[in-house]
Amino acid sequence: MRILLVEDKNRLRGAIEKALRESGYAVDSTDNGNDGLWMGSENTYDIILLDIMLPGLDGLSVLEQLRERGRDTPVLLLTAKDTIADRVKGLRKGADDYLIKPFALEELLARIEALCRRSYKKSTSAITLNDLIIDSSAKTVKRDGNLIDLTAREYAILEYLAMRQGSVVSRSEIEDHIYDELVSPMSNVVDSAICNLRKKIAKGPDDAELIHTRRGQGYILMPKN
Amino acid sequence: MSSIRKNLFIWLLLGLTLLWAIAGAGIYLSVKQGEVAKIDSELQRMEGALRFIGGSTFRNPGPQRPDRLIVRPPRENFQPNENRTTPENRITQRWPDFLSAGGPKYIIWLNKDTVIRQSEGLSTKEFKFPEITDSNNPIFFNISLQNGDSMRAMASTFRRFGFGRPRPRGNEGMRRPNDESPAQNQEQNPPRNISLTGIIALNSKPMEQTLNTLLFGIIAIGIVAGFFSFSLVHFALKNGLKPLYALGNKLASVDSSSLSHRFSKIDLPVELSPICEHLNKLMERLEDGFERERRFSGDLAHELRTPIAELKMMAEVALRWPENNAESHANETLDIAQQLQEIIESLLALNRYDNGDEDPVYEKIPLHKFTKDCWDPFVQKAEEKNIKVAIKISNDHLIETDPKILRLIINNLFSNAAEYTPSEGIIAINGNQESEGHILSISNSVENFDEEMLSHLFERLWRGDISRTDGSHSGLGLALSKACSKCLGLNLEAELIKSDQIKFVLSRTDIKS
Repeated sequence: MRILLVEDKNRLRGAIEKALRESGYAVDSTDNGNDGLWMGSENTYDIILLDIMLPGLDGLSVLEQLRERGRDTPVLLLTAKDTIADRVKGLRKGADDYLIKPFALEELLARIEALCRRSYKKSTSAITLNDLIIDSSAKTVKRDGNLIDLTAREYAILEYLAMRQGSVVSRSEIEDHIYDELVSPMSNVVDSAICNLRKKIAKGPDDAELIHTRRGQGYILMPKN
Repeated sequence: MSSIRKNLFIWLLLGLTLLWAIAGAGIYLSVKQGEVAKIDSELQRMEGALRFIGGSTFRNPGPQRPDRLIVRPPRENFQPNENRTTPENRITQRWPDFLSAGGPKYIIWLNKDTVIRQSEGLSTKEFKFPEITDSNNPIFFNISLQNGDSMRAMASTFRRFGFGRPRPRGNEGMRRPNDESPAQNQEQNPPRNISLTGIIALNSKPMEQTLNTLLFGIIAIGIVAGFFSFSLVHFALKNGLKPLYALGNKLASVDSSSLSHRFSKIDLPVELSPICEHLNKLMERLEDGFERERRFSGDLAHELRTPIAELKMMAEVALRWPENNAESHANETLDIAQQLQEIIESLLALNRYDNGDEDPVYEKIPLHKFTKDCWDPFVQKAEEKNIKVAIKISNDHLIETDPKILRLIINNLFSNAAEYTPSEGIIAINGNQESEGHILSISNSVENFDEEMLSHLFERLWRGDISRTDGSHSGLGLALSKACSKCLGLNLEAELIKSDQIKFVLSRTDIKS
């Protein structure tokens, strides 16, 4: 999952960014509203974390302009403004959630997961595909009850494919959602990650693949017949 | 608690009652006066009868002429006795009601002790001899009879001419008519020209009955009018005070969320219009005050919550994903703690100076040296931004103040100037000794600053930078300077000059006022 973080306080931004990366998210961040608007408009993000009081362009204006430009990326407002009027205003401008500073890291991560689920129309944190269970809350993958050890990036790819199971996901889409702007993905990075993933989630050499390749189109996660 | 409605109600009711009473009394008195005048006129008319009776009392039929001198009237001219013009007949003819049963009572005196004629059954105790000073003007008065009746009386004096002591005509030739002496004690005929006094009185009972009926009528109408007045006043007040109640209800519905509401003068009476204007001005001030407090709360929340959020997030991340950068973390934590400490100390100081809890200790200080010392910490920053600084204070300029508090004021102003003056800008510090009351002025160049921002300049936690990104300022400095100035009895004001320069003037309040 790729997240855009717009926060002007450097220390807070740094801490959130680190926490998100450690949690397996690809994070792009900026400290002002103008850049935030540009990044949110130009890139595809699964979630945008937006402060309200920002230099340049305030968070609510960024949100308003994003919505005007047809961007329906879920937005979580992070702000010290705690009055009901402020919350109502933020939500009415198009925000999907509102978190008041200071907040607990666990709560932030839980809200991000909830927003991700909502955007992919999943009601629970567990995604099941035959005997493969992906727990997006615990960030774990089990096959036949056995825990599979995946890297953060492998997990992110699997989770993204699972979120869109049954649909073909192009390589560029995977790159957009899994790699942030700091990483310059090589053309075979996704392929090699998929290859590793197939090996790790397979029960044995003869086990039928769950991740299928559609030549020239991308990948699709489908249950076995 | 006094009530306008109650007061108006009482006064209007009292006023109307008084009006009704005056009107009733007026009607009663005028009718009474008319009735009395009518009786008096009647009495005056009947005074003739009184005179006639007085005159006829002493009428001497004259000497009896010898028979030979009697010329009998022709038979055809002879009138029977009953048709002959007796005094009674003449009275009956001229004053037909005089001798009737309900006719007037009269009494005629020759003098105080001598009654020469009176009505039957009349008591001299009830009709006393009147003292008449002006014989041309009769006097009118009321008499209460022993039987409870009352009468209206007229007393007058009149002369009796022509009949008096008979002229001697022969020795025996003259004799008085047979015993029709009007008074028993009249021994001899009165003199030829005498003054008689008489009272004629009419029963005033019918008049009193009329007046009593009128009085009852007036009282009855008065009671009805009283009820009508009560209802009228009640209704009028209820309707008249309706706009006041409506305004009160509108005012009562105002709360902190509806302070933007303004009262309309369109449907209000003229009397309430000024109140409405004052209320609207009050609402404006309240709205400003609430807005300021709301802004302060919001800003304070931001100023305090953001560093706490930073601390919390950094700590949680460090605990969950430990790194070997403890020194960096410690430095950042220290910065945040320092920032929080400054905010809290500034707020506490602001509270102390605002409440006047600080007692200034005055001493004489040289302003030039003091100002230079205060500016020194900002010299480097000014040089980095290539700001031109001009300090114009005479070396011998002494002021008496509390140096600790003044330092706080000037430090905040200098810090502000150094922070917000753009590169290549100008800072001018003047201590004008010649201008009375003026202590110090600091002017500096500004960018993107307008009058609207100027009005918020001294508000607590207000910052030109809406995003409040810079953590080195909290927006309390100028508010603190203002509070400190107040504590020292000084006035700190800011004005915008030519839209690109702001000037802070510190002056003495007493001179300014």
